[in-house]
Amino acid sequence: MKIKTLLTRPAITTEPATPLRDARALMHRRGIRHLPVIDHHRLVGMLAERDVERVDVSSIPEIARHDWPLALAGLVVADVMARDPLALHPETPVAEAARLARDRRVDAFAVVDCDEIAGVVTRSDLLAVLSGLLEHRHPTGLGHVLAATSLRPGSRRALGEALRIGATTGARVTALHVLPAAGRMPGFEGATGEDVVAVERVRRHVADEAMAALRRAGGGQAVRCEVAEGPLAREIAQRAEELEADLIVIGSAARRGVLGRLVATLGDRLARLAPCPVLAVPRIGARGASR
Amino acid sequence: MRGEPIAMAPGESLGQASRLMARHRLGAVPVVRGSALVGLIAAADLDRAHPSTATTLTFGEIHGRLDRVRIDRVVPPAVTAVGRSTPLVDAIRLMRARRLAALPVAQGDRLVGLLTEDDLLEVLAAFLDEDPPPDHPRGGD
Repeated sequence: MKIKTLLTRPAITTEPATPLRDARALMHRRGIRHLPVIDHHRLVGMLAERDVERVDVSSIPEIARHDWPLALAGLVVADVMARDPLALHPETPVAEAARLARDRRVDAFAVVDCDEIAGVVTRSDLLAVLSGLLEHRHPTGLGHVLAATSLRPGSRRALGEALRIGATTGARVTALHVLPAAGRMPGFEGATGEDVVAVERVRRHVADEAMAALRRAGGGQAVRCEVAEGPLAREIAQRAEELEADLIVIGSAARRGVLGRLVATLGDRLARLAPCPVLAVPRIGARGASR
Repeated sequence: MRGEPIAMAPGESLGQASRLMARHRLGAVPVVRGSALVGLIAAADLDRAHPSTATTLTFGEIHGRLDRVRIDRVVPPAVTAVGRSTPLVDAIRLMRARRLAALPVAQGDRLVGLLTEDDLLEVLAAFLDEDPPPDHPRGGD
């Protein structure tokens, strides 16, 4: 793997005579922390946000008292940039860039091809490569399983099943417990003032209990536990999307009765909203379903 | 992660933090009260506190001032930590999203380790050496 594969956009650059505050505004606007400095098509320096912060007036008042902000207004990029930055060729292996970044304490490399700037590779880019490699290691394609639970016994099965899937495939497991949204708590639709405070206290308590229950159910296995609130199906689907989950596991309830119909509805809703497949774990006949 | 991590107390100075980071090549140092993790001081926090280049302070005075300011004046109030069993991908996502050069590893509120960018770069290099994957392009920022 070569670093050229990490260059996803044309380099955003600056010039030696650019006022420092303009270069800084550019970094902020583009959400970047390094600007290669180009003079007549040649790379002459690298401007890092950190260097700019060191030049700036101190955040500590008794130190800043001795700083001279007026002098800063006239600074240009060339006054602050690091000269002769480390430049790498696009064909440099990513492993070599990673080693160089560590050994020489480099935050960002300029990538230069035939004296032309081709882009920037940062530590953050390198870490993203590692993240991608780690995720690609899952042979089943299951990187992340989301177990949606409530405090009802049926949903413990969902977590149990998710943990079993995690253990056999190497997938990560996140347990999500969804509480009803504040306004939807039965009997408290029109609550105000002190009522709301009391309800909040109860909700906090329920949330803490839920977390503790999830942790216990997870046993020794690595499982991340989260509590969310809002409409059940929407919260689960949204979290699955954010976590880039590959599978959602829910417990399906007994087939008879109102509860059974409710959970069937959850499955139906999720099937429409979810970004990935949904697995409903039945109670009867499930192999070793309860933990 | 490195066990028995280097850590500082809230009452230590910016000057000490700066020297500690330089000596151990760290981009951030956990802050502990007793053994409880209470914060993380990053090189960027020191940069912001550092006098401007346009200062009337002399070199010696700069160091004197930095030695008199407690680090808890620049340490962000909230600390992000991971557990020993946090998947590496999640740790990486956190570090990139919050622009952290290191992540404290905690058990309860007790500091048990430090995961640094350098550790991860080492993992990356080893990963690519041992098992060259197909050349699939992956995004930058």
